[in-house]
Amino acid sequence: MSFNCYKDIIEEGDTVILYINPQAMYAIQAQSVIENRKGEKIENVMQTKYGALKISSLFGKQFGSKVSLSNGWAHVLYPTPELWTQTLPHRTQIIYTPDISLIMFMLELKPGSIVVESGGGRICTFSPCIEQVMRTCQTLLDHGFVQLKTVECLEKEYQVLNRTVTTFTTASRPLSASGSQNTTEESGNEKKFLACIPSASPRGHTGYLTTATFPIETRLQPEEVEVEDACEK
Amino acid sequence: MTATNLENIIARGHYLIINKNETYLIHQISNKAILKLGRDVIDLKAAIGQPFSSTYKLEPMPEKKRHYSLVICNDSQARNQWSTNGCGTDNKLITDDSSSQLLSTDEIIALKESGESGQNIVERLLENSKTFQLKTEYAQEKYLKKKARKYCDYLTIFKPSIRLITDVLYKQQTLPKTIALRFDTLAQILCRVNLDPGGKYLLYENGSQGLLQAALLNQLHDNGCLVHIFSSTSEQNALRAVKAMNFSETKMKQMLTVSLNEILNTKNEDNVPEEKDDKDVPNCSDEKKRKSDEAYTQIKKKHRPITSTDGLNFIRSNKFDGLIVVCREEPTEFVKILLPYLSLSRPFVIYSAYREVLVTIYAEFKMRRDVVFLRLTDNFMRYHQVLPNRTHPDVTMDDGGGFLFSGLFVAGTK
Repeated sequence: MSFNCYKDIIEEGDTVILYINPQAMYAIQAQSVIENRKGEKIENVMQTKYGALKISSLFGKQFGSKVSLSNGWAHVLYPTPELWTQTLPHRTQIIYTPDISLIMFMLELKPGSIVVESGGGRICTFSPCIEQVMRTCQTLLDHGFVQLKTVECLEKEYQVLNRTVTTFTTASRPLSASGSQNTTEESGNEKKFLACIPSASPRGHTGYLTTATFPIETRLQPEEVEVEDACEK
Repeated sequence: MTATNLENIIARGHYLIINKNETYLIHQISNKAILKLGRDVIDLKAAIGQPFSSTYKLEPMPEKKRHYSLVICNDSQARNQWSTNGCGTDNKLITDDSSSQLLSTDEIIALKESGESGQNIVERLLENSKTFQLKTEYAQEKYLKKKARKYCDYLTIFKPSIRLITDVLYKQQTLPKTIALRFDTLAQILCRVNLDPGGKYLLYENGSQGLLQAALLNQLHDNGCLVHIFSSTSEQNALRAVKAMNFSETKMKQMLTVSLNEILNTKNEDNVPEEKDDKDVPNCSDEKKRKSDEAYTQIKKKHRPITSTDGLNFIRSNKFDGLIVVCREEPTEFVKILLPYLSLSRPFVIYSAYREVLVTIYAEFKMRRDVVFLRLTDNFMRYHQVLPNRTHPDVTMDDGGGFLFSGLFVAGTK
């Protein structure tokens, strides 16, 4: 199943994202029967924090619908590339959505663009280490690339929560006035507010993105010239 | 020559991205093909019929001061390069007493106006600088870079792309007048909404000079469709970015436009019929509103986008694959109305320059059962200087990327 065209109804063999909460999302293969360790065919039942889910019960359901677990519920979502990177087991260096979005944007990719891993036109490299970046930039310059730019982009995520803080009353602000909006009895000096809290340990580094352009030169053949634009359609 | 190739040839009426040294600008090449750049007047006729991405040398016109014509010059070897002759070991002997340059300002201006090439002017400046030889290698490099910028004789004409347009607009825009959408934020919006080239998208945009419409249209395939919901108070140049992309008429037909008020009114019919006639701005002391939002330009009726005839029907009879909201307004109320137009398991992305606006909507949406995977983010984005022995993050960074709130629309309670 590919991700590049939406479908509405879950069928056998589809990839489905089981969403319980942001911390518990799983990419699952919708297969009604699997083999157990002994090689016997058995009914595919997934165990979650909130109980079991019989996979065959998903067939015919709409992506986005709510499903019951034995002790709760979850949503079955269509697997977008973003959800996919979030649920992927991190066996190796993977590139996350913010970097992916920048790579696609800076290379000006659109439907029908042909992407080669290296070549002319615009080039983009992703390197986790600054030494790699330094070598890349030097090599690009030596080969006549221009408009070199190196950028790093980290996504900061916030949680929005109701929080309460204690306030101090002063003579100029009598206690009754400051506490008038509070529902909690006794605490005239408690203030409720919506807190916007950054993640406790966000990703601090992914990699450096370097982009460069290979300029057209009169001595090149025209077919070689427009590598980026020849890719249209 | 195929049609695809023709798109890459500069023709009259085309929009171009003109790049002279560090500056980029959007320019429509008119019949006269004249470009005014600062105090210079540049005749672009020589570029007509040439492919995009070519570089031209500015040739002074003998009869007129600061008038130039273009000569194609794609050989990067021939471009401005200055030889240096030795350098100092440190800069401590150099003091800025404004006497290091022997040429006076008037003499330099005279050189420029006489039609002397940038190459020669900078050579003269170097000859007449008392301190250049004493500067370190790094300081010399910096000095030359600065002079090259000022006396650059070359310009490059690029084919407008979303990347270049975003950069040009970002540098020009100032809050709260217009939305300055940084390239990484725009890139992320396109990824978050999981843009499917053949999908149907709902967009409410006001204030980005059409950048969102342009970016979405650019990514859509022939079978994709975009409905742009517009407000009655829109900006000047509301379609600047769309125009700059030189889209074909067929491409433009993939975008339908619908007034937000019409959608809101439709909804109201089902509920309590409201007295308010939302023809224009909600009439809450019109005068006051106009004053407070000086940025909002009331567009004359004939320039205002109109609801496409089938736009409203299209919205009512279709389910969409994504909702994007980029605007200056507080979006909560109409986002709630627009959400049910989405198919299930489809994303929505809301941009705001103000985190506070999105915090409020986040808190409200957290209580809803039909949205999941709610995320409020912004970006830490910085450039790095990569030079031998001098690699480090840029000293100044840009923290104006704005904020994104996104989520997925799903089935509510059964």
